[in-house]
Amino acid sequence: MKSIAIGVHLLRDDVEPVADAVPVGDLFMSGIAIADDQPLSDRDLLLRAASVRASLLERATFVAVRYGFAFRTSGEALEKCASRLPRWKELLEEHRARVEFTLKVAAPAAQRPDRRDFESGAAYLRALHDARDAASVPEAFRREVERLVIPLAVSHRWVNRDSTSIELAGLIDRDALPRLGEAGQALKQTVPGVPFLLSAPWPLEVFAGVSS
Amino acid sequence: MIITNDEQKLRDSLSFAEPSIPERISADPDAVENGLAKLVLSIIELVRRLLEKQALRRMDGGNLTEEEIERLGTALMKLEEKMDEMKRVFGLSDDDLNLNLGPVRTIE
Repeated sequence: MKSIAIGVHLLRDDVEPVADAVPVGDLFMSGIAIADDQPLSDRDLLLRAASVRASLLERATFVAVRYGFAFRTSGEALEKCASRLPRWKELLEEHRARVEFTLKVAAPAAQRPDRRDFESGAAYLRALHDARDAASVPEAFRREVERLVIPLAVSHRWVNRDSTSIELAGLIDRDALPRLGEAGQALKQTVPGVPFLLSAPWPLEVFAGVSS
Repeated sequence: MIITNDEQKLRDSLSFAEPSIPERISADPDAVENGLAKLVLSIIELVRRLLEKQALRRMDGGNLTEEEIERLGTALMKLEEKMDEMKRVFGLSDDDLNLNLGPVRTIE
């Protein structure tokens, strides 16, 4: 048997009995046990993992572990995240009553560099990087987000995902989620022309540095 | 909670990439090769984009050496070149391989 990791939690009670709680330092990694030969791409397993993730988030905020990490022992689980545990513990204590939200926004496509203009791979990669970072949210939309959404967030950051979309990631108190929903509805009315997708609640990911 | 101002696209996206991936591959001997090529190249293109995003993310991390940046950039250039070659061979355009993944069209 092996376990699929779901997240890292502050307390054992945040995990059990929804999932197995495996100690990692002062924290606990949640996991769901599966057979050694079960493929991680199995549809039912994906749905089961998503459902467990949602149930765990209802109980308490946790640091997300990207789907696909499987472990057999607590030592293996610890090895994966040991260097980050002190920071995650701090975050989990500070933001226990908070969750992440994301607002993905379509941005006008920036000019993509043409690989034929480059002789060096490094120069090409840097040009792709610059093109991605050049993408920006339409000004009217940004103003409305600053007026309606950002005041609800305890902390926020704009993240350039690629050359045609930008994401606002925010931390929000759980009890402010209904107001975030209202802000999303208002955004639909005030800037109807800019495609966006507002979703919440999510476990800590951007603010826990999981994606870096 | 999910709120979008483009609900139709969200609904479309839940049917997973229908506009790009044909429901059936035509048995017509002249068309079968093209249909299969579109299916396979769409998936390769998705993987290529993911690799590119991952490379940019690793650059953000700031811990790549100059040599690693050069190697990653060169690999991406070669991959793109090969994709262009295959698109030409099968008469496919970028739009043919554009998987519809959500209301914000480049969510990957």
